[in-house]
Amino acid sequence: MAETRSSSVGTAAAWWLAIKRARNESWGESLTGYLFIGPAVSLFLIFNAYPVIRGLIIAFSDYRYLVPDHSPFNGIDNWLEIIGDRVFWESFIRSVQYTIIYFILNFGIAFVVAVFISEIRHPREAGIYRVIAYLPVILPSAIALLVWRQFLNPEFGYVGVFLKATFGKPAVELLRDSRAVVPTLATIAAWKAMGSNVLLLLVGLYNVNSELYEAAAIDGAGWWRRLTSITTPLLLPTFTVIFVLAAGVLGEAEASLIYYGVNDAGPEGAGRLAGRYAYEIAFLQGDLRWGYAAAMNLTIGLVSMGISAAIFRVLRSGRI
Amino acid sequence: MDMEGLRSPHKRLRRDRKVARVVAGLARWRNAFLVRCLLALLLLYFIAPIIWTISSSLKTRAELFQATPSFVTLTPTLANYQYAIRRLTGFDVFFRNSLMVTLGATVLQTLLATLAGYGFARLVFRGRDFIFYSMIMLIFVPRAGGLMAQYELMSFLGLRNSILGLILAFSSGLAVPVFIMRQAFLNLPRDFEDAALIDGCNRLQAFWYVMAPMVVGASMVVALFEFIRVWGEYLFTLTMIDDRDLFTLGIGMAMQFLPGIALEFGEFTSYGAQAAAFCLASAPVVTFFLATQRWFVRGLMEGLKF
Repeated sequence: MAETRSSSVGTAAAWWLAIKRARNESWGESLTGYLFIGPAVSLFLIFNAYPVIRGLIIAFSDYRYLVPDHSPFNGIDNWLEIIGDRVFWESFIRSVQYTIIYFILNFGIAFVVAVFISEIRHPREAGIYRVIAYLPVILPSAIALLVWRQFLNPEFGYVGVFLKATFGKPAVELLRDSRAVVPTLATIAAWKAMGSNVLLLLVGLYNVNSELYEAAAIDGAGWWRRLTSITTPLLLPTFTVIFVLAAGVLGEAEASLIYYGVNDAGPEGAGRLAGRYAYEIAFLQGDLRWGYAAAMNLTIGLVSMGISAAIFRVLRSGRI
Repeated sequence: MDMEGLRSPHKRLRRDRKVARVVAGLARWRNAFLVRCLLALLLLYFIAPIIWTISSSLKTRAELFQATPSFVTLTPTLANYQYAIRRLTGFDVFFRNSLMVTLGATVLQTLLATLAGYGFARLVFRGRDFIFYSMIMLIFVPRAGGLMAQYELMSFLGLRNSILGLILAFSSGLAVPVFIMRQAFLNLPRDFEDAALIDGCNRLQAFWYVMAPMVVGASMVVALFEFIRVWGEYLFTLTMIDDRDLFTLGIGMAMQFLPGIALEFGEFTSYGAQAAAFCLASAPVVTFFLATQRWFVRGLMEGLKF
């Protein structure tokens, strides 16, 4: 896993080398080779690569879908508009809060759970815990939200009843309270995604050479010391992957779109995360300003890439 | 006898050892117990909403409206399931659509990724690494107008409002699957296929009869990821499908149950029946996961070794 640490840089370098080498390669078994990769590559080019590239171009134009033949190139005008768009920045701040809460739960709990599961030597028992931890991941996202809505229900749900019993007063519906919307959505999203992190961390933990622990135990290192001095440094590549995936959540739109539907952004618009705002601009408002929405998504994407790059730098420099 | 034991140094040593072993055993037992307690507490956050749903789906009406909801039901009933299937308009249609899209995309993607993974790992041809690394590079390009461009493309190809369109679009996310499969093939020794080729197999036969069976673990990981992703997908399907007869379960259920949009289909408020519907809608993906999970961790460890 050592290479993951610099995977984007590493991929770029490998890509560049491959371009330079391609000219001198022999044709060899080329026909067979193209037959094997052909179907996959063509499907990928048409339905995946093309939309991504085309989407980048859209971001630099004033493309309005409902205005026929209207997609003039407009340079950085979209960005000038974003700077002055108050709704965008409000939703962006909500997205940042959402990402921070999501990240703390998603990483913190997953790490503790993974370490505990790796302590269990009985393979079948550990298997059961892994399955439980992964169950939320496999639920459809719409079902997960619906399940949580019942679970949080102030009158019949466990959480609602618990809150009422603890604080004595009737509980509010959390997703209808404008201050609670972002934390609640983030908690649900973290719940849904933690299982993958548990699994990623477990793969890392199982790959740690057990001789290292034995040697440390002989030298008198306790459980805590082994965790901080062996496990954590060796898991840094896995941490990097998890942090980078979490940074991608900045553009998340789905939870709010599922829960409140496309036409309602939640109480006082509190469910309007940045990704959702871009979706509204692109598919619901006015003459569907695709150019502007694409520029917003690109802004969010670049910010999250910047965060990822910073994480790479910090974790590559070694010690935290 | 005890006095005698104490007097003899040899026996005393043996007894001390025995005591030390018991103490160590107790400590280990205590640690194991503590780990399990903490783990159970943490896993409760993972599983409590799921238990709640399953138990609600089996409760009778009286139990559902108890002031303090119970964790398990003492009088399980299937009435909620019957009610859900009867009353949920279009549940069977949504279910069939979801199944078609998910199975189609999973089979297509796993097959293509395995073929391509083999090609990239084992065959020598012009531009091989360039093509592979270009696919991987694209993961790092931000999805600025991806959804819009896909909408445009699908309209142009006449694939909006079509199950086939969904299958093709979902199975096209091939970068990571191809990466996993290539990695799996790279980890196999060359000798197997060399032997097959010398014995007169052609490339395709060597691939299909010799190599592919050895990477089943990795293929299962790819298939499982795709199955989970497609079965739970929401936003893309919502954008591409307007025709109610082509809705998948996620969208159908959200439309049925969520405030604002639920009105269109009539109020459907029985908690038990809702919970039963959630269980039914999750059943296929949970089944698929439980059936393939024994490959899962092993396959991940094979596929993620960089």
